[in-house]
Amino acid sequence: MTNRNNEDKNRQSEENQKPKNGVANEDKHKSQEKNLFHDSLRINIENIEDELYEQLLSQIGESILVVTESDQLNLFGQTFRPIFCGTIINVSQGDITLFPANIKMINAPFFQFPTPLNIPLEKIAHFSLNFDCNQRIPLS
Amino acid sequence: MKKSSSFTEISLPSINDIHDEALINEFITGIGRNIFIMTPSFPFIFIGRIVEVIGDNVVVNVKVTTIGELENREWSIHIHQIEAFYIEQKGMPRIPELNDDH
Repeated sequence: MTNRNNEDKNRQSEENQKPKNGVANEDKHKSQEKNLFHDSLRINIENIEDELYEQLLSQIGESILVVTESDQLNLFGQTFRPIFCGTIINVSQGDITLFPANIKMINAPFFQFPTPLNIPLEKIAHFSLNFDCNQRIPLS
Repeated sequence: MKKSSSFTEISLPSINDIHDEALINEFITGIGRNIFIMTPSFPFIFIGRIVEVIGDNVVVNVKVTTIGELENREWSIHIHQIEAFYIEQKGMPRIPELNDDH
């Protein structure tokens, strides 16, 4: 707020000091003003199409294999590659929820996490739909 | 270098932005609930109660993590750094109570 007021004041004094220094300069100020938004813009996203969200929404109840971005995760001393397999029980525009959720650990490839797991959509590196979570995959 | 004729516009907000904002919203609706968080950054695991959301950080009153010295304090955790999580929901499994044995 104060910054903006100062800017306004500066601009005013600048304009006062240089009276009619050319029309072009004034026009430049005006066009800058036109392109400025003084608050954050609120955008209604209700009608914005989110194809990934729609696709995942249609897969609720189906199984999915998800690999996330990081090289490895750590669960109380046990490091593992972030490979999750499970049934999609919920989808939001921010994440998917798997339950039951199986973490593919090298020592325990069928380890089932005791609670559902949410995975942020933006953390998903790749996924494959209708993956049989009982399938053995070499992890090393 | 020929420019693709079909690609002359982009839409705002981007889908990535919407997903990021929707994720923050998940944590806001979970304020007061127990949460389990997995992150690739040390100490990898946080379990506790969501106190509040500040910007894109979630403040958790952490009861359990991998190291006892880091427990029983408030941690501010960058939501977009979280790789997997679970916010306790009614009718769904509770987060196991993990007691420190040592």
